[in-house]
Amino acid sequence: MSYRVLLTLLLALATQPNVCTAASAEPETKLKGAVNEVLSVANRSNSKAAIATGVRPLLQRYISFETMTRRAVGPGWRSFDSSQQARATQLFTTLVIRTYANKFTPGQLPEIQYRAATEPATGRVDVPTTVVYQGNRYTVTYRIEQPGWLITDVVIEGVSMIANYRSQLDATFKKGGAEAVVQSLESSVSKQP
Amino acid sequence: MSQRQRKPIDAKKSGHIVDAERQSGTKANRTKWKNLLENSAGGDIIGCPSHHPTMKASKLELIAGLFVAIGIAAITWLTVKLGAGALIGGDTYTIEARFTNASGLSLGGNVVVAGVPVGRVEGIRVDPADFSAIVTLRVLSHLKLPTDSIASVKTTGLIGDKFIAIAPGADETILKPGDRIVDTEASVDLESLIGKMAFGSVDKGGENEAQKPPAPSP
Repeated sequence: MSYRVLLTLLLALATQPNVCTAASAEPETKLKGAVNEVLSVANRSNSKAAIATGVRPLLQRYISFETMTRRAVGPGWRSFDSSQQARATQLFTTLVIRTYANKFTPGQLPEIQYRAATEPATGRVDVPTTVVYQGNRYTVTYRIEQPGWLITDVVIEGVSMIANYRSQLDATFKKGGAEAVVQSLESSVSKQP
Repeated sequence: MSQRQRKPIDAKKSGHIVDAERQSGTKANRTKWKNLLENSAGGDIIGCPSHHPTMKASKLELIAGLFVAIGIAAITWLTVKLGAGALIGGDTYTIEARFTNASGLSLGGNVVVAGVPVGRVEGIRVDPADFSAIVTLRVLSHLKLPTDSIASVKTTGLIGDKFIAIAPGADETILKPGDRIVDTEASVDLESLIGKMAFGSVDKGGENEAQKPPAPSP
């Protein structure tokens, strides 16, 4: 009898971690697939510009750039009209992809280790990873959200990409409104090669 | 120089000290002081030429004690009020924020929006489920924060006190009392960053050792 109780307890303990990770399993698998796809495209590209154009459709499938732009702009987003919102989203997408594609050297692949994902709220999963690239180790956390388990923020070394852009764009909005934000995004995009 | 030094001493000797000696030196006075000292052998205050010195002394002690007690009470009240952040006027409500690291943050720390203090840190605890830090924030109730607000642990200056900065988001929905902010930035470990810069990273995987940030993949 006591063996049965022990067995049940052991089974319950053994299945416990599976229950916890079940919710984060889908976004984790999706993220790993996305990372592998992006890396293979980047590896095939010859130049940084080619990386940016090559990974763009892929990233748009896995990253919610609309949510990212809305959150990066902050409270001012509500006063943007629909055309300004569309322009801002398009410019922000280009800016993010270009900025990070420029840091990538073609032919050099990063090593990525995935750590245990956490679920801070329902419909939201954080996947912390450790990236080793060109001899340096970085902590990168992907924030993935429902619907669709899309990436909504990337936290590198504890600094959130959205928070970083929000502090800049919100200040621009307070100075010159929606049009100033769009203009500053335009000038940032045109400055880059 | 020596003459200058001698002058005040001479004046003292000729003046007050001599007078005091003369006054207390009388026989009657000596007897009076002797009696007083004998009477107050139990530790009472010397110098009360009364028949009941203990009563007066205890009254004095009582008043002094009362002052000390009031002082301590005032300091305690101020400490508690400042610590709990009750000095922020108006109605308040509490929200929570989840951080991966809340090191350096202390109870009563400031909560700011656009650099303006709008609340205090009321509690810090560890979530036993995933070992993250759950920080309870008490903020002014007229402040309606969107659900996608970002809470960051920031430092005053380079090595100053830690505080929480909230950057309001763009969502239509607002945080209700007891809700949790999950878009957060933990306190940046300055020491480890300096260490990385000073000593470099241990994982020298590639031959190219250029200091470049990682590619956001994706």
